[in-house]
Amino acid sequence: MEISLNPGVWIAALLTLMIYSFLYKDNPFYKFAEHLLVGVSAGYVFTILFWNYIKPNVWGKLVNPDIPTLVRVLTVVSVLFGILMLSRFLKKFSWLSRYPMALLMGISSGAAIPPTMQTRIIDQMHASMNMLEFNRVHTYTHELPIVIGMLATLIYFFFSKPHKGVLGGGAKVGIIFLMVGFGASFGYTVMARISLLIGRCYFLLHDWLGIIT
Amino acid sequence: MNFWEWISNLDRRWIFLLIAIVVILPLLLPLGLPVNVTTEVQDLYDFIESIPDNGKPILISCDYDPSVEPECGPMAYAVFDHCFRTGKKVIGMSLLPEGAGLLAQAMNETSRQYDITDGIDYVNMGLVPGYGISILKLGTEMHEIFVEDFNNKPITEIPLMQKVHSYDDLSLIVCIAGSAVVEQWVAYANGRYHADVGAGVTAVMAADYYPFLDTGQLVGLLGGLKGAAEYEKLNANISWSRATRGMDTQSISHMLIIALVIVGNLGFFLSKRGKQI
Repeated sequence: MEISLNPGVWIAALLTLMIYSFLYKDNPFYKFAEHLLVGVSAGYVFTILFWNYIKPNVWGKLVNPDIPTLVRVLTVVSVLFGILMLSRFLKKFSWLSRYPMALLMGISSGAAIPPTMQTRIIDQMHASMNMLEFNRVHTYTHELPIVIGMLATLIYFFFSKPHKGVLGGGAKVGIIFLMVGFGASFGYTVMARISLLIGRCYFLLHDWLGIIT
Repeated sequence: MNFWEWISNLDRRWIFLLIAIVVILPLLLPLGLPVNVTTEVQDLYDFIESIPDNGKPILISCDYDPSVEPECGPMAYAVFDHCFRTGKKVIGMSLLPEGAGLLAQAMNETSRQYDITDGIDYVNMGLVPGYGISILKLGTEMHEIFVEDFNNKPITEIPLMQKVHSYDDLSLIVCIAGSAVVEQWVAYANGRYHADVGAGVTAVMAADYYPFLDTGQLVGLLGGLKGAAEYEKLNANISWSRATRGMDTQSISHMLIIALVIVGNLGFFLSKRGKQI
């Protein structure tokens, strides 16, 4: 392979090096790349949202005669509510933004709370209660530690009584499980950060310099 | 100043340099260290394999942005390639504006390798904003959310979408994400509509989603670059092996970081500062 002649690849490679130059020390090249990233991201998101969402879902519905009148009226109401959000920028009319905000909060909470309870708490509790079958080796090696860890961690977060005696012992076991959990998360975080660096190095060596195939 | 004090006060830029060396060298000189496939990756692969050819489509949602592309990109390429190679129908979408372009790139590059047709065998529905609300609405009538595809073609003119109206018309949903949106797919698509959901997530998030495997809320999980490399190994298409190429580097850099953590702690406890505690 040979070095890339694609101007886009060159721009991406130089911007990558500008960003990584921060690891040596803060400098104008890093600042330039950082500000460019923020500006380009905002412009890109706006363009994509406009052409992929606002145009088909607002303009597309309003001009399409096949769409029922009720849907078109509701679309106009939605747009008006959206515009009211922008009233926050005008001190005199900022109170108007409370109506769409209240609507958004109400819908979001109503839609989120029951499924989150079901997904994060009830289904997890159900699985923890039903996983123990003591006639299997797998239960002792994999499932029992999960149940013990869950109970011990819950004890650690029980603050209505001093952590002494049985409660204190359970809380100490809970801390051990918490530390193991934090360790696993840290290990995964290291892997994630290294993966991002690998991605950039691969781009520089493969796409830009053409050193690796 | 003894050795341990010197190591405790070492300029961190030397560590950056060391990391750069151990990341670049294995990319130039691959070692070919083995990649073992874990159960959660095998489960997702097997689930897709079990879907009959020309069966119900698979919905793949690429909910990641460029900042996590090195991790999520290889997953998307491997899963798309697997689906296209085995004749599965695929609907692509993204809940993130930045993800729409990455989705198009992954779909176009992988589909180009096979004799398949846009609109019949696969379709890119582009951006679907709204997160949870959109996921909920997709469960009742997709045609109200998917108005046009990524190329502004109306949904009424896309043959693949004519029989697809809700999650009942899909065989699987795969969410490849760099944010907590996976939880919304699990909560709404699986919890509310009992759709089968698989996920590919960044390594930072992977630990949070393992509980969903035991409960059956996720049929399989790809965690970070390692998960992507495992899927690439199962898929066995040399064209998409970016994650596998990175695994040598990953292993060696982890060894270095373990060594640095040990040396750093020894330095702290054996230096005067540590002895004062």
